[in-house]
Parts: sequence; structure tokens; C-alpha cells
Amino acid sequence: VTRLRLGRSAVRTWSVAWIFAALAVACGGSRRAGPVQVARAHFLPSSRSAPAVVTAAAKVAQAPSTPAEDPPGAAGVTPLEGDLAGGEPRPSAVKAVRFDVDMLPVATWGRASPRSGYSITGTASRYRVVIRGPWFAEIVIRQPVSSFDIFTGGTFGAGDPPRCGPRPLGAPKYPTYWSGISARGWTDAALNVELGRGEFDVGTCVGVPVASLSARAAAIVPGFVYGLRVLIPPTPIDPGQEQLIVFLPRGALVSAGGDPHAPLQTANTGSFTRLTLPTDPGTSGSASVRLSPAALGLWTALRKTGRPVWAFQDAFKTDNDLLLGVDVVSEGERGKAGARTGSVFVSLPKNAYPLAYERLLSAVSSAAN
Amino acid sequence: MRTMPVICLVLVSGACATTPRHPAPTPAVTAQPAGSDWGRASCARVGKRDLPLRVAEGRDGSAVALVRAGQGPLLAYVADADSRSVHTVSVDEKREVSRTRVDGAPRQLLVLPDGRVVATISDSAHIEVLEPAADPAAPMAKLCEREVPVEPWGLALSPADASLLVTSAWGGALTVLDAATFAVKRIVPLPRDPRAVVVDRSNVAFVSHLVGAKMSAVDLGADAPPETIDLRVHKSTPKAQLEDMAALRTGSQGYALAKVTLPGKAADAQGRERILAPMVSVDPGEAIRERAVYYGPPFDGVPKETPFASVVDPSKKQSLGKYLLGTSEGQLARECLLPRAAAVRAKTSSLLVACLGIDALLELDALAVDPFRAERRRVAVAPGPEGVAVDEASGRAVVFSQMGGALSVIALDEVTKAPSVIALDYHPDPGLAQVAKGRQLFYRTDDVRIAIDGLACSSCHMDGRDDSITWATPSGPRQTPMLAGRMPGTAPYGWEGARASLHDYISNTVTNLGGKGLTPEELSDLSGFLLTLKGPPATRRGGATRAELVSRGHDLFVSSEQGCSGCHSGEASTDTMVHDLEGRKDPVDTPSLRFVRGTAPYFHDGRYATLDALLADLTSPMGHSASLPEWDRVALAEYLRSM
Repeated sequence: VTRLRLGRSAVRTWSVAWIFAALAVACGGSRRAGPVQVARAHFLPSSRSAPAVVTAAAKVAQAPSTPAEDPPGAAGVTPLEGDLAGGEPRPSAVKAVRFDVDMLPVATWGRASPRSGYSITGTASRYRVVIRGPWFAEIVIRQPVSSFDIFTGGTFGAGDPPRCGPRPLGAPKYPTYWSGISARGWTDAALNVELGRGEFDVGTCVGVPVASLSARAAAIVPGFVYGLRVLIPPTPIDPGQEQLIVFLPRGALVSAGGDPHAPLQTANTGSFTRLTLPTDPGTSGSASVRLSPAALGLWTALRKTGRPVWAFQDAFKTDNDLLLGVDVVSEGERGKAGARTGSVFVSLPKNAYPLAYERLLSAVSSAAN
Repeated sequence: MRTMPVICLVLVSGACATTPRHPAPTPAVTAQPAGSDWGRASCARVGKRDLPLRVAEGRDGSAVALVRAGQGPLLAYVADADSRSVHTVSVDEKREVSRTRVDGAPRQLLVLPDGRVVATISDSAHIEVLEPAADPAAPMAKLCEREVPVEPWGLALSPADASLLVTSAWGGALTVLDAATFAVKRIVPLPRDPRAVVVDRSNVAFVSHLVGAKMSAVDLGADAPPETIDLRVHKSTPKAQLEDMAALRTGSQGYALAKVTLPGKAADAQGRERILAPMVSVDPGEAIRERAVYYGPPFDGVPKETPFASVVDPSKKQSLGKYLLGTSEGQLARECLLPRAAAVRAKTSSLLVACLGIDALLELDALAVDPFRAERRRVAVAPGPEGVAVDEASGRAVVFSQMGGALSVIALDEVTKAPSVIALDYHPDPGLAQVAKGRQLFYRTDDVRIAIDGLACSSCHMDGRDDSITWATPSGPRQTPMLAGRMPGTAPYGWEGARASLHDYISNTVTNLGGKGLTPEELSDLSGFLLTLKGPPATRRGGATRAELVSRGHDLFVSSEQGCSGCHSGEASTDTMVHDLEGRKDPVDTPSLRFVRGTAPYFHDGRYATLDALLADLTSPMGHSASLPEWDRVALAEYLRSM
């Protein structure tokens, strides 16, 4: 506490009187108005995470000659105790990694490699997907009434598998899409990926590529989160667009925006998680996933062994898992690009097991710096 | 030696502080005697000495404004609506140095470039301009008043300090004044309940709205009508039903706004700033969607009321966030469901949000698409935070807590350090002081006695007003009624009129909300608070033509042909009875029509968006206004607006 900004002579002159007046007022003595008022320290915060109370003494403004009607002084309230709902608050973010969207590699769809594509064998209850090339892949088949999503590298499937085989009137063909990551050439700094789209021939149970894209995604969080931009060329009916595709370990509780009717625009998860976020001017995209220690183990195994892990079990409860968010904001408007910012947020719940995330947190810290 | 007296005082007061005590009442300091014609008085400075100047750019109003005189201590001016005072607090010295009484409840303060202070007086229709004394220990002097539409709330200065902007909450307007002369240049009508205002570098004012998940953009350089920015979002979470994800969520609690400048390379590009609007995203449910709890859809990772900070690209005047993401399986606790004030710390690109209900300041990542998803930390502050300001130079945030009558000073770079709390010279109205506990309960979120999902009474009845939302309930769609100024003499309560007393009504409501229930004493406290809630201040507008219209409208209202006053009678404008208007054995209580103009939508099920639509509906079960000549309907509507 420092001295009021009074004139020096006034302070000297009043010092003694001031102390005595303060003694009288502060100890509950005379309540007559004097030149000194003592500020109160009546606020007592809650016991937990309590802010410190500052007890201060101060000279408040001089009494005016004609004070207006003023209610008596009162203590402010103290916090209500107890009866709070259980549960945890949002986990606090450990770090945010800012990344430059414009610095990420760009890939463009091109003619499909004849060596890409996939096939499905087996029955509706037991089936096997074989993809050409060294990919751990996510495959989406858009059937008339349902979608079939499957990831190689584990038992990650959703929806009804197509009933393959010849039809008397000819087997239909359904639109199909896939994205894959490869253990070959996988480093902390980059990851080989392939995206494909084509037709699934129900008669032969084969996914035949029409267009594909191979590229090397760059690390956003080294070893854990990779991204690349994908250009969709304009057509006479579509102005084209740019998207950010992000690959990261298998997530639970994956939430993201995107058009559910555009198969590769919504997020999907299996042996890895693929996020698609718009980066056209005037758009934003965001996603959040929970990453369990087991999912990080699966990710590490994919990279190290290059082999699938068939018996993966998700955690029963995800609220104690690390929360990872990805945001991209692209300002401006079409034809007039503005600022673009990307962020990866990592938050560790209070009940998470930090050692299990040590490598990821370390990578995030180094990327953030 | 010179500091000795004060040190002695500290020691003395500490030694005697074993029992709570109150000091002698602080002399009230009114800047000038009442009765002056403040509306015509000059707002020009009177003093010659330099005044403390605002820190950093500081062009946005807040309940706390930070100033500094040269190398002197950091001072906080605090708008204390309860005490009808502006406090001057030395933040460095952790003590209040003076208090200035003003003519009403100050809501926000803004420091002009020369050090004068503008205050919005929210229970009136004017702003005040104050001149601090060169010595902060002396009270401020009132220079002038300027009339603006009723319930002035938010303040901002345009770039280069050319224009002073004032939002009027109940008046539904943005007033643009010349910052040099305080002459009104323009009054822009806005959608209901405008609150905070900020101005971007291109001279566009952005105004938050308490209800409706919208923001208004007013181009100050053009005479164009305001644009409305839609802040509604969809939720996205893997456990949600498709129909719930398809629903566009509305919003409420739009009290605050802040601006962030993009750091680094991004700042060189076109979009240099973003407008941040902390609010609450709301899904009130629909009759066709499943309900697992009393109001709204079931919990699926994104509750019916979820904190959300809309990020607006000012250059394109559009919200960047389109989705509210689920991040948790279980219900999160201690959510910021009553965000009241916001400020940005540029150094760390942090959005600081003062959260009523949980009494906390949240530090969020201001560059996130939804900053609430990237919470950096939270700090407990004194009860009832309603204002926040940041001193970039010292890395401190100062939070004003109205109910606690205190400032909390937070060292933003010292994560583990608890905030210092400075008690203010707090002089609440005695009636308000008596219902302080009820007031706290009214704003308390996360209390299992009140609701299962963290809601507070103020979640829907913000400050006793209404959220403009029609909720899906087991009884059908029900519009949130306004409480402030409508409680006395209007029993029974609730749309069904099934509760004879406020006790009963509150008790039933908390049961519906899944709360465990309040004690009789707490119900009394809450009832007491509700009965003291004042309605909006009276509107002063219109001339002879309007008076004529209102008079004609009154005649129609009380005429037996129209039949309005048969039910909406008496001082409280209700016959306190229930009526089966549509013959469906679904009788509803006659609501009070007091303050009806600002409580859209109308009818118990919110079927009418405006009063005009209500009066013009040929199928309306109320009265016969649709058959009136148009001019008479206009008159009737004008009379209703005058109530």
C-alpha cells in the first residue's frame, strides 16, 4: 500500500491525527465523520481456490458539503457454498499449436493409378477388405439406403456391408471413397497418404478407382497430427474448393462440422482419424476428438510394425482421455482471400493419466514453440 | 516515513478485524447538486490539469475502465449500479480512493481521450459525462447529461475517437453522438435488447443482442440500415439424433463483445480483426423432437444450453463458427452459462470472459473458432462478476463483481497466484441488500437444487427479463415470460395459472428442471428477490401524434367490442384468471401486459413474432382486433407498446 497522492505538507500535518482517527474508526469507536474512512475487507471468498483477501486502509474522498441521499454501506455477499453439481469442468488447454495453413503441402486429384483400389471378400457377418498398396485405409461405400464405412487395420466398421455377387439384371455400382496412410516413409515430419474415389462394383465386390491423389502430408504436431491441402478443381457446375485433410490417431467422440451428404467431408475414425476441414475464403472448420492411451498405442503400432491390430478395444469412458481440437479459419471471400489461421488445441482432463500422453504432449510443446 | 500513516492503518485494521464490522457510512459524493439542467450543460472539461488516461486503446465500454496518470498507479473506474456510484480504485495500492454518486445505476464506463468519463445510466434515458479530479482521491465532477433512448447500456468510441456510440437495451437502438460536442448525430433502431458495442477499424459498429443469437452491424460511415449477423449454429456430436443436429440453435446471454487482432503474419492480410461474442447457444426443443428432460432435447454431449463464443469476421460480417461441437460424454460441470463481460489480452491472444453463476474469470484462446472449446484456465473471483478490463502493460486483469462489491485483480502471467480482492465502498439500495441471498440464488448455475443441467433462473429470465424463446415442454410450447416488474399482484403464476404463490411456482419449476429442491427459506429469498425486480425504465418518446394514437388505442383496448380489458385489467393488467381460449381444455393464465412491447414472441406458445402480427391474425382467439381498420390496429399496438 502506498501513500495517497496528497500534498506532502498535508500528510505531515495530518499524520498524527490520522493514526488516532484510524484507531478509533477501525476498532469500532467513534462513527462520526472525520477526515479518514477505513476501507473494508468484508469479502471472504470460498475456501477452495480462494482469492486472497486484501485488507487495506484508505482515505476515501472528502465529505462533500451537501451529501446526497446515500444508502448505508453494506458488505458484498460471500460465495454460496455447497450443492454444486458433480462432474468435471472443461479441461484446461495445455497448449495451442498455431500452424500456417498456407505452408502445408497441396495435392490435386488426378487420374487414378491402375494399381489402387480395393476388394471385399466374405459374408455379411464376416468380411475382409484388401486394399492395394501399403495403406491403412478408410473406405466408404454409399449404398442407396445406407453407408458402409470400414477401416483396415482393425475391426472398425459401421453400416451394412454390400451384398456382393452377380445379379440377373446386372449388378449395381455404388460411389465409393477412400483415404489411406502408409507406414512406409512415415516420419515425425511427414506421412504418405492416398485419397481415392471411384465405383464399387457389387457384382465383383471390387472398388475401382476413378481418381486418386497421393501426397506426403506434413506434420502439424510431429509424429501425431499431419495435414495437407487438397484442391478440388472447378467444374462447370462447381466452383471448386480447397480442403484441409488432417490425419491423427484413432479418436473417440469425434465431433466435426461438414456436409454429411459429402462422404469425405465428415470426420471418420478407425485405425486412424481423418478430418476434413474447409479452407476456402470465408469458411471455418473445427473438430474435436478424444484420444485414449490405447489409441496412441495403436497409432504407434501402425507406424512401427506396418501391420494391422485386430483386437483393439476402445476405452469404456472417454471423459478422462486427452481432448484434441483442430480449428481452421479462412477469412475473406471467394476470389479475395483473407487471413488464414490454424490451431491444434490439446487439453488434459484432471483425471487423465499424463504419463500416457508424455510423447504427444512433448511434441505439442515443441511444435508450439 | 511518508507511508507510515497508511501502514499504521493497515496494521490497525488488521488487528481489529477479528470480528466483522462495518465502517462508518462513507459520505456520498454527488458531483453537483440536483436540479441543474444537465441536458443543456456543456460537457467540456472544466479543470486544466492533466487527467489519468485510459490504458492501451481502450475504446470499448465496460463496467471497469483502467486509467493511469503518467507513471502513477493503475486506477480502475468502476460502474457500481447497486451503489449508484462510480468508484475510483487504486489497483496498485489495492484500495479504493474515492466514490462518486451518479443519478442512477451506471452500467458501463468509457474513458475519453482527454480523461473524461462517460457513464451509461441504465435505469434512465441518459448518459452522464464526468470529469475526474486531478487528484483521484477527490470525486468526479458531473459535467453534463445527454438524452438517449431508454436504458442506455453499452459504450464505444469509433476509430480516431470521432463518434461516441451508446446502445439502449430497452430502447432498442444505437445512438451515435459526436464525441467532441456530444450532439446526437444518428439514432439507429436495432432488434430487441442490444447490449455491448465495439467498432472495427473500418468504422463498422458491431452490437450484441441479449436474445436471438444475432449481432447487428451498423456502418457508421453510411446511412444504411443495420445488417443482422446470424450467430445460430448446429450442434455436432456423435451421440446426437439427426433431427437434433439438423436443428438450428438459437442463443441468449449476449451481454458482451470483444475484439481481437490477429497476431503475426495473419495481421498483414485483409482480415485483421475478429469480433468475439460470448453467449449461450440454446436448443429449446420442438414438439416433434424427443424430450428427455422438461425443456429441450435430451443430453447427448451438447446440452440444450451450452456456452459458445461466436467469432465474427468483420470484413464479411459473418460468423465463422457454424458448429457447436460435443467434447464430452458426460455433462460438464461449472460451465459458463451466464457470460457477462469480455476483454481481450492481445499479448497472448486470450479472450477473458467474466462468468456470473460460477463466479469465475475464464481465459480462452481468442483465435479458436469457438474459444470456449479452448479454455486455458479459470480463476475464482468475487461473487457476481459483471465487468473485466485488462492492463496489457502489467499483465493484469481487473474484474468487477457487483454482488460481492469487490474488484479481483488477477496476475495473468502468474498461473498459480490467487487474485487479490479489493473490497469496494459498497452502498446497495436497502431493499436490494435484503434480498441479496435470493439474488445470488437467482443467478447461481450448477446448483443441483435448482436444475439438473446447470441452468440458473437467469438462464431464461436474464436479469428478470425473458429470453425470447419458446420452449418445448410437456404442456406444449411455452414462451418465457418476463418477470421483472410483473410479479406483484399477478398471482396465480405460470402459464397454466396452477400455482397460487411464488413459493409454489418456483418450487414447481425447479422440480421440472430436475433440481432437488430449495428450502422454504431459500424459496422465500428467491421470491423476495423476484418481487423487487424492477421493470425497464419508462420510455419517453413521441409527440402529439403518438399521444393521440395511444389515446385512441386505449379507447379501443377498454372498449367492450375489442374485449381486451375484460381480461387484461387493473394495474397489473391481468384479471389473475385462467381462460380456455381455444376450447381445447388447455386454459392459460392471463399474463400481465406490462412492458409487453419488449417481450416478443407473443401468446403463451410464442406463435406471434410481433404485436402487429398478433393483432392482425383473423384466427386469433383473443379479441377482435383483426377486423379493425388498419389505423385502429396501429393505435392499439401503440397503446400496448406504451404499457
